Amino acid sequence: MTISSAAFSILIMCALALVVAAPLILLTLLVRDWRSKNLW
Amino acid sequence: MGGLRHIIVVGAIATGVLAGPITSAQPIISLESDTPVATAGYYQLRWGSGEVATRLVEATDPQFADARVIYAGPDTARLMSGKPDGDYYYRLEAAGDVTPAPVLSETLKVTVEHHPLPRALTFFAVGAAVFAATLGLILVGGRNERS
Amino acid sequence: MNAVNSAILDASTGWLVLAGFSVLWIFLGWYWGRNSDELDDYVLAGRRVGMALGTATAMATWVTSNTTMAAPQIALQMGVWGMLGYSLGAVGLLMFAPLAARIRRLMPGGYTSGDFVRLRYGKTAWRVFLLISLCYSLGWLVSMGMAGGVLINALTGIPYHYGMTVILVICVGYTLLGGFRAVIGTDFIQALLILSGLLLIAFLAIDKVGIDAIHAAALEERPELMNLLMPAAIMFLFNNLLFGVGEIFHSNVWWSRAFSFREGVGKKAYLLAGVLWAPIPIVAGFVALAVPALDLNVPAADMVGPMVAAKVLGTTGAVLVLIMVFSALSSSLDSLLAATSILVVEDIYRRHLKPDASSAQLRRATGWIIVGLGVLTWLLCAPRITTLAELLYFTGAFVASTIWPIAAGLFLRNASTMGAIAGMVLGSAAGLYSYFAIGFYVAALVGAAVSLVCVVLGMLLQPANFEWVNLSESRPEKEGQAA
Repeated sequence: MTISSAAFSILIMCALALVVAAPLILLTLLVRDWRSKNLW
Repeated sequence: MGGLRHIIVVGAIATGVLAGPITSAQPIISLESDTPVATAGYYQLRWGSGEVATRLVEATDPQFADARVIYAGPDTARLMSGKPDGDYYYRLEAAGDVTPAPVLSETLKVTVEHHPLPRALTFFAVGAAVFAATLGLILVGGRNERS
Repeated sequence: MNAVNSAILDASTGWLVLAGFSVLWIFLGWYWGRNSDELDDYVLAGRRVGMALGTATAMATWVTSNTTMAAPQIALQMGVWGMLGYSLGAVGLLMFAPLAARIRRLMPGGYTSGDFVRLRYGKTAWRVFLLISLCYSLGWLVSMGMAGGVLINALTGIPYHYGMTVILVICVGYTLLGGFRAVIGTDFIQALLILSGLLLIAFLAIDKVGIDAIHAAALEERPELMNLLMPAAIMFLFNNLLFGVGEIFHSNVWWSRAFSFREGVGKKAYLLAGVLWAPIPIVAGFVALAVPALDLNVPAADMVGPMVAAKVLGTTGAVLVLIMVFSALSSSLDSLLAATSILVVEDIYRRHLKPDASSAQLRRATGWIIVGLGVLTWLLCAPRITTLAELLYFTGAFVASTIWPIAAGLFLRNASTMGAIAGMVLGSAAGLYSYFAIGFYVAALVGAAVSLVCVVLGMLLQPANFEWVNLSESRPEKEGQAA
């Protein structure tokens, strides 16, 4: 039973999307924490 | 994982070495696998570097009737992976246009024999059970704490 | 033995990159650490770390050189399930989230995971636990130091000893200067660097080869990699998950973060870090599956990541990989140095040797221990014995055997000392046996399963009735005042 090309593509694209989102989420949180003086 | 290094010699091959005049002075180049039996479909082939350019040949037939070149270049190792069950035979040949190509190494046999699926699924089930139990403990513990 | 016959970058480029980032980390270490004179400030960043830095530090620390290098390796060896199995390492972070919240609440003044085991199970269990935890920490430190030397050598040709020394000296330097603040501050930047490098490489691999072509070529050349029923990969799946859970549940690297996060942050930060970490091994690993499509010879499995990156990007790719590797290594090394030093200071120096040490003495001792750990790691890395780096895989059996003693100890009053000790000892032994009898891909699984049985039997045969308030201890400065 091998993974189909379509399933493989979807898996990779979903992972990529999350990795694209990660730095954006981190930076947004950083700005929010910084403004509310909750950085550390 | 490495540890044992086995060289399995299948049949004498000295004849091949003497086939071409340019190679008669060539020493036999060592060719070995990190394991004689690969239970996960991967193994590393390593060979010594000779003075002539070499190529690595793979076959499923011990006489190399179905031989195909899988690597030709300067590196002296190759990771094989994703192989289905079966016996695979390897040897090094001199790169170039001479036919038949002079054989530069002894024949190396590697057997790929994946773990039986039932065994794999048993481990999978045990793993799933331990995971489920741990997750259950944490979720229930967390809920009790809140209430 | 290096079967690749040429480095990808020239040494001067390598030195330039290393020097640039070294200066940056050291400066930041000094800048962030210049006011950390108090013990809690120095070792736990004042216990007020917020969501952004909390999430990034958990994520970046969990991205070790192993994630960027071993995920492609496992993908090349075990295929699609290997890649997915590796990404299940995220479950450790996710499952630790509720624990982090509970740890912070039950032990507001705690310092180490050793504190917990000592207060919860008593001294014998504590010493067994310390042995496991220190062996694991040292194994991790050595594997990082060696990976640093080997990777820098493979990428730039800079001799192993120089690369290994540079990375250790830099990490010891800024951790010493800046304490825990330097660790989490640099972790944030390192997380961003790792993510952007990875993205660029993945996008270029897709652009140059295409996902369909990668799939087709892998299916043709290395069919079992695409097999969803590959036996070893199926066995590896939960093993890797449990290895990760064991590492995170027991190690002071993660406990010290739980202690340092602001109230209410721990749970959310660990959950988000887990979600953001999960796709990283998939993206890093999938790159390795492009090997057949690229017609690349991979001499050794652990070189596949850098080789593919260099193939699709050339020199720029190799520089990016170098920055990524340097970031991944330092974000884990610094955390490990910080967390292990406080474990040694609290659990060995203070609790075994000098019970009446003041807060200032402990702060000074922490600095010395950081340097000492750096020197010890250097000495162990210097002979370049590869089997030492593989020790980390051994520890899978040990750390997985701590999962149940820790989790049950945190949530169940009746978890008993006998069960915890038996779980750690017998679980480790059984896991180690299966490592040699079957393979590295079952050791943690067996260790965790045996330990679970021991802990449950302990609860049934000799149930304890633990009072949670006993976990709360006062801090050293207060104890000092009382004395």
